[in-house]
Amino acid sequence: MRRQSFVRLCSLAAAAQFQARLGGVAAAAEAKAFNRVQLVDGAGKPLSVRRLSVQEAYVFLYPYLGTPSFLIHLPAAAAAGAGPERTIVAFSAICAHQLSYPSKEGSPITYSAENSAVAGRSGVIVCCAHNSVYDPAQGAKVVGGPAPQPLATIALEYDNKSGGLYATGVVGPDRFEQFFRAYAEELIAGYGRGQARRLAAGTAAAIPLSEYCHAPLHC
Amino acid sequence: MSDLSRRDLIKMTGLAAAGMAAVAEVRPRPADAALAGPVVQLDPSADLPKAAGTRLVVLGGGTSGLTIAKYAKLENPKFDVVLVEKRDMYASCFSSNLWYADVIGLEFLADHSFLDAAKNNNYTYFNATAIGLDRAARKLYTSRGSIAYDYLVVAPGIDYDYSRIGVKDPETECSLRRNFPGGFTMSTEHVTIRRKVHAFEGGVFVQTVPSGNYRCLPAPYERACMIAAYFKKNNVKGKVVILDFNPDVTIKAKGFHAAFSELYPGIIEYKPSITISGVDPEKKVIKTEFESFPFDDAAIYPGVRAAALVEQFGLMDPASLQKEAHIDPYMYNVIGDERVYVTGDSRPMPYSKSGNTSNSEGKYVAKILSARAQGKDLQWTSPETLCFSMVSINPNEAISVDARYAFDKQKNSFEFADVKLFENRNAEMGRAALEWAKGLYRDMFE
Repeated sequence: MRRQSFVRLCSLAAAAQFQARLGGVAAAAEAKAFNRVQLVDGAGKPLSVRRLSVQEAYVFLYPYLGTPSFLIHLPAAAAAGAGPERTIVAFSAICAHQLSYPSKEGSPITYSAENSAVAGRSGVIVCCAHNSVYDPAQGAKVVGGPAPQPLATIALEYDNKSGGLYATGVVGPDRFEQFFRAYAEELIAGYGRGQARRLAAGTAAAIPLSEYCHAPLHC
Repeated sequence: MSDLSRRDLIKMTGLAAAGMAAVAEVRPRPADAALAGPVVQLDPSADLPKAAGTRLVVLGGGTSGLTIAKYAKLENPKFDVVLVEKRDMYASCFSSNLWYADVIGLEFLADHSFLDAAKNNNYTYFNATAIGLDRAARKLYTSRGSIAYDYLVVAPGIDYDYSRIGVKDPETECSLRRNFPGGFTMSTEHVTIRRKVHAFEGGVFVQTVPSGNYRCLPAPYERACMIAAYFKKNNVKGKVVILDFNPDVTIKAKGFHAAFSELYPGIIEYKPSITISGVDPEKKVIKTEFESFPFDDAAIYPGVRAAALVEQFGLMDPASLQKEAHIDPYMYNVIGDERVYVTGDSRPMPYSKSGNTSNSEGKYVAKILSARAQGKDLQWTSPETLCFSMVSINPNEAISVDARYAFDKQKNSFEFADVKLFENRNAEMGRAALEWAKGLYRDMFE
């Protein structure tokens, strides 16, 4: 199902609930509801926020089965952060500039816990293909390089009772359609025909980037 | 083209340049009437649908033209964009050095369709060669008829200037173009140079580096590294001699010198401050005032000028040493004409003539066109020159530079600003270099 069709099918009530969940931060940005998906670890067990390594990028496939997103546990609370201390953030891992993304073969776009030579600082998402720099503590705002817009935010919901973490939608302009077009052959090879555009549903495994792909770039 | 039509065309473009006069109809001379009619019919309109909006014609489907065609439409959906490109098959000049050492295959450079770019980005790809321009009538003449425009972008790239290496007779120039091409304009040159490298039996392979603001400053040095890497890998008893007009490597000097001495000792020989005064293609000798350099094979990169079309269409700045366009350096329009713009490597500003520069510049020019079409103004933003140079294979290792530009009032020119140099070669930049190019292809074609 294409995103447009899916959004059309969403009831107004569901959309209103989604907006309410996003809170004030996302109120001004374009918000799109997708399936509410629970994040799990590589073994399929519900992801525990407490066990998430701080300042390590995890990759999960959302909102489509072929679109990778970053999950990052920041060292301090962030404006759009989720979790008990509002330190968990998630963004589309498709570079808003020229669509570089993490694949199994490698990732030009990474989170730099250590100092990035390109960015001149640490704690940023850097795309080494063209040196775009995003600040995850500020909603993946562009803080360097040629990217024309922030990374799309993945809306997260934290369940206080169970400690579960859920992805619920996408906030801000995304590049999914261009991504599907640009990588059509690659996505078929990786996922099978028609699979990459399927919506994530139920659960999504969040895997450390260093395990998800071979030798992510740092720059 | 016959002499008859060529003369009339020159007259036409000359008139257009002088006073934007209307185009004279081409008629056969009486003596020729029995032989044939007009060889070139200038006036029939091109077989294109009526413009559905403000017609923007982009002449040239290189990095600059492809970027502007796409982004102008995105900036202003009311534009009806027509990309006029003489090639029917795309291949990039950027990244072509990597093919010589088999870091990439030809598909990497050429598996990109003009048709797909046009379809994906809602414009028309018109496969034709531009043959004339009438700015008074706002008409571009092509080999497939004339196209009326509201705005015209001329992005034809570069041509070679062999006079800069002392070659002034057409015989020698023709021989050099055929036998020792520079490898910075037509894709067929890349094919030839790759075959030269792969079929090299041994001896001296010369790579020259020109004076002036030539296309892609680091490329001749990168190419020397790629050829040397191929020789080294395949045990070719060859040496790559770099004859450089400049007193030192023009950019990323530390990184290149490290590669020359550490990776290719005895294979790359670097000779700076070599002013070539002539070439004997038959004897395979490059001459300076004091020395001669015999070679077994070579890629002779002469001087660079704006594409001849810029001069032919009356858009050249007569004071420009590289025959570049006479345009507003901030807004890109031809001086005195806000309907015609010249971009990419024909621009006179001393920006690096590179893919990333044209790509980033193209997005800014798209905004200018959109703003002008809506009667708005726009703040200048600098292009960005981000350039990786592969210096090693197995593993692929690269160096890079990332810079912008600012106008220096004291020097009265644009200078590099905010320069970041990454000159310690590593494999991460080697991988980034490939992703850099893929990103540009995606940006232009998807």
